[in-house]
Amino acid sequence: MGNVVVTAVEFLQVEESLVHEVFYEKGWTDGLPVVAPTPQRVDAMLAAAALAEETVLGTANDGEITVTAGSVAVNAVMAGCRTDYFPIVSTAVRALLDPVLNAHVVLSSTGGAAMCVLVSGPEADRIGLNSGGGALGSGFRANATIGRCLRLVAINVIGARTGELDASSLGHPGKYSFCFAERPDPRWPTLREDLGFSAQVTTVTVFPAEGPRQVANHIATTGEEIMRTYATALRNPSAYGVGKGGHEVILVVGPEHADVLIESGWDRASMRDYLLEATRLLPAELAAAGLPPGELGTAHDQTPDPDGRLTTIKDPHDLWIVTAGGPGSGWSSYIPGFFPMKNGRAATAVVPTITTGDPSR
Amino acid sequence: MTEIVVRVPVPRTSRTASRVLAQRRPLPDAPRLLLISNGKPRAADVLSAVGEALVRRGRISEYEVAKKAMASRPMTDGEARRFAAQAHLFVTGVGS
Repeated sequence: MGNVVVTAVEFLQVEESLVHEVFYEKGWTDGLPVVAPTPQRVDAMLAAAALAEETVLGTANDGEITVTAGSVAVNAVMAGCRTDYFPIVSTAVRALLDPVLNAHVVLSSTGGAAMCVLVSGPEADRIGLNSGGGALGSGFRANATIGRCLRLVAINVIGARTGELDASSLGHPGKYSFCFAERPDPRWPTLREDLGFSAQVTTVTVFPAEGPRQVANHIATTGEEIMRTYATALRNPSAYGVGKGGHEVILVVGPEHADVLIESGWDRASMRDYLLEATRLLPAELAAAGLPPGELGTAHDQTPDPDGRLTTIKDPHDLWIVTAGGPGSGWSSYIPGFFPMKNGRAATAVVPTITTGDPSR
Repeated sequence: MTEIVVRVPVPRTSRTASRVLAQRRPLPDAPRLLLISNGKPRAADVLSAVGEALVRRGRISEYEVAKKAMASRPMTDGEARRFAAQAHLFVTGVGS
């Protein structure tokens, strides 16, 4: 492998009203208009996180590509990020480039995964990340632009353009942007505490994701009924990882469902115990869904466990349970991980405390 | 009409030490081909058909289909060295 260094920062002189057209023509956008990344805007982005231009956030493509804070800041400006988003943006990039995530396959696979960014902690509120009504939808600048920036970084810095490194067969709309924050329920520990971090920090998780599925149950009055609905969603064989030895799942529990579950005595641990068992399928169930056993040793290997069942979620902590959303009739959301975990997994990084005037970080 | 200066979002990179290509050796009259599967399901079926077709055309004497350790990760240097010792010609990363 060759070592790669980023050479001099490059500039372009362009008619202001044509920035989007020029950038689009060059393949530097996601199709949406972009904000012109002037040097002043990029410098302001870096300053907000006290990061230097050349600070290395990680490497990609088996170490071939070095991703610097400067190159990410350019894309953050283009995405429309406010400068105070940049600590979370740069932390998300660190998580994306964590080797455990295996960004290369996430960004290149025919599976067309999105990078779901899940933020837990006080920084989310401070910058206005939406965790309430419409948390997985549109209308909030922080959600829209932080998620978008990750995709622009993938395109421009890592080279994951559609038809080039990105071989997505279909992809899904989350590839434009997919970012939300936890809305903690005071009756449960926060997500970051569940991950083993302090309640005082802010964590940023990048989760390689298939498209989200809304889970409706407006009728149930008991936690067990809601859990059965969740199990039905999570064991649907049309998600790639179901029955394939273990994949990760985000279960976004909406407020009404959380109320019923908590009042019925469910907590994260008991929900995990239930769903890990309830999502184990018989090979015949996959076959009935048109999925006969795949080749041994591939991601489609359907070698059952000793009891004859196939595992969908292997470890309790592979099921990420997070509360978010606003009032409604009874909605949750299920976000399947994009691949069986032998190929990679979600990664979490902590937003560093900013020390103003320390651009060397 | 106002011209502005903007940053280019695609970092220009340079390799301080470029990839070292495997030594190119003269091909024997009957070269052996190694088709390296990307690990996708049924890749071996596709590649075997390709290998058979090439043998029928008389361009190679024999072929073998090999598989890298994981579909989702690039071939390691060790795998590459091991494969390189097995044949004269190689096609890598195919089978989808």
